[in-house]
Amino acid sequence: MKNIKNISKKIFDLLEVHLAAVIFLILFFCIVIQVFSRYVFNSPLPPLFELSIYSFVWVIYLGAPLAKRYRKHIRFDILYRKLPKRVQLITEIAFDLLLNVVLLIISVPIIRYVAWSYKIKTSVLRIPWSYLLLCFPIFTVLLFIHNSVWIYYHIREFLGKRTPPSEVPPWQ
Amino acid sequence: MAIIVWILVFAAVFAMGYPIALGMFISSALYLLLSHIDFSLLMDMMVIKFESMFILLAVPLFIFTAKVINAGKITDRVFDSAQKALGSLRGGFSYVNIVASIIFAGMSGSEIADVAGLGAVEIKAMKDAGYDGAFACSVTCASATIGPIIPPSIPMIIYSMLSGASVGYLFLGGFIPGFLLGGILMVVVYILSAKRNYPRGKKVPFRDLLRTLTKSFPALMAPVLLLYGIYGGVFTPTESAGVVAAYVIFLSLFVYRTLGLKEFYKVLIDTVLSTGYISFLIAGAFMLSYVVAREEIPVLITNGFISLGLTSSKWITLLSINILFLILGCFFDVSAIQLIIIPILLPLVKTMGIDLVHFGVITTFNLMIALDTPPYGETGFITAAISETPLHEVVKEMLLYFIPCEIAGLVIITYVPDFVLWLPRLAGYVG
Repeated sequence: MKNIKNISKKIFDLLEVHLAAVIFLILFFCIVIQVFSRYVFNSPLPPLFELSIYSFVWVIYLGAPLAKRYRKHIRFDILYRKLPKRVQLITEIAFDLLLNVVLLIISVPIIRYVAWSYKIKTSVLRIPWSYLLLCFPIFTVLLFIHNSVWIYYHIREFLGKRTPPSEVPPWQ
Repeated sequence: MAIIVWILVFAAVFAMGYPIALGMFISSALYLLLSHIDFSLLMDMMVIKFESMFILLAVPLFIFTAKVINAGKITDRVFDSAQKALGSLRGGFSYVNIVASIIFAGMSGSEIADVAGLGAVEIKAMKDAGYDGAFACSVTCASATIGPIIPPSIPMIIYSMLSGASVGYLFLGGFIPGFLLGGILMVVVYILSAKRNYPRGKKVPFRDLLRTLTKSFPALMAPVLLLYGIYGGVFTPTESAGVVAAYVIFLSLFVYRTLGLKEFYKVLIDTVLSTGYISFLIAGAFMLSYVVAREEIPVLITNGFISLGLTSSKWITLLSINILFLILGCFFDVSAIQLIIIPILLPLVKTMGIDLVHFGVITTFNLMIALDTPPYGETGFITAAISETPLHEVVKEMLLYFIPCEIAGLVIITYVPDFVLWLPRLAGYVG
């Protein structure tokens, strides 16, 4: 059980932390090199322009599940904080379940859409659109898994069972 | 049926403290399901739409810049320079706080980054010098408000994306309001310092001041680089975010050597996280805007304004919008207000002939006040936690002295549009 937990943590870290950080660096360098190339060599680089946007989209959809994993999404919690702990847990479980149902409902249509978009090529890089859109199914899978883990923890807490200590976030 | 479910789910998510972005996602997906619209629209709105929104690339890059500035302790140098220059006045640290925030505002576009980074340095220095915690926190919160008003500004970039107004002119429009607010805060600080007999710092010899300024010179050049780049036509506002990030990374890694590679990697991860939840909220807002437009909700809102008699002149409309934003700002997160309310109000604003640059600066100013206003004033939470000052003391000080001043600034820029539009017009803006 512990091994599975460690391996899954490594896989999540690889995608949401390390891969996302590398893609962010690509985004950053694309922008800087573009400015340099245009200003110094008077030669704009449209492929880098396109790559920077695609990198941005990938960072969003790898970063959003990471935010779910560490409960960093913005919420309006004035009322929530005043609720009894058990009511808080029930609302969290209910909405997380609803989110998982939605993720399941949309999964087939979005995978079909990503597969269909393979035929279409991007305007500059001429790579299949599905390479850009693939981040969305990955996002839904990651979100589904983190959500399910939180549902499990919240149910345990609701039943008065011990929950594991929260892990140290990788940015601390 | 679909719209009722959409409203109910979204309202429930909002009220019960579930993440807003995920709430937008759930309610919009259910709306599509009940309206028999293909789910591919979700990806069109939440993924593909970013392809035409190059301006939004500035958001992660300015987040990155702010985090590097804080992690690389560039804030310490900015604070040190301001302290040497102004610390000897009565209540000098308060002026230092405001001036440092104005300089920081020229590098970062985020009020929270100002409070959490520079604020921590400022509050500690002020408390060590004998200022009470509530005052130190309140000055820090109020001065941080200037951050996104003076360019660069993340909220202005998001507003530009929503409204189509030029980011360059929005940035120019924020200059005078930012300095105006700084001036108003200095007057309040002057009066309070005299009344409470706050201490004077030691006068620094000119040679020491010069030495500090020389050391801080590269850091102080960041805003100059940004403004020269944008208005000198070298790069776009989006690209400016990347160039300034590269500059502050270079300073932190190689000039000041205050940032190791390990810390730099942590900054990268932190940026990915912030980009994830902020930009996903924007993606959710794209979906929300689709539903709002499809259901013609702006028409309903406009009719509501008309029936309440709030459209008799644009000044009354602006007054009512300002009041609405101030009230919403007390309870909701500013990015959520911006992404949800502005698209609904924009058709009314355009119908009333309100200038989009003027409106953008007003809403940015208003939303920054929202970060200070209780009960949901994030800056108060952060500074109270940093300084271990009871939150109610910070809130009391803010409500008594600083929030009224911020609102005074808002009223001035609302009713004297030249405070906002003079500089953009000088640069060729026709509006």
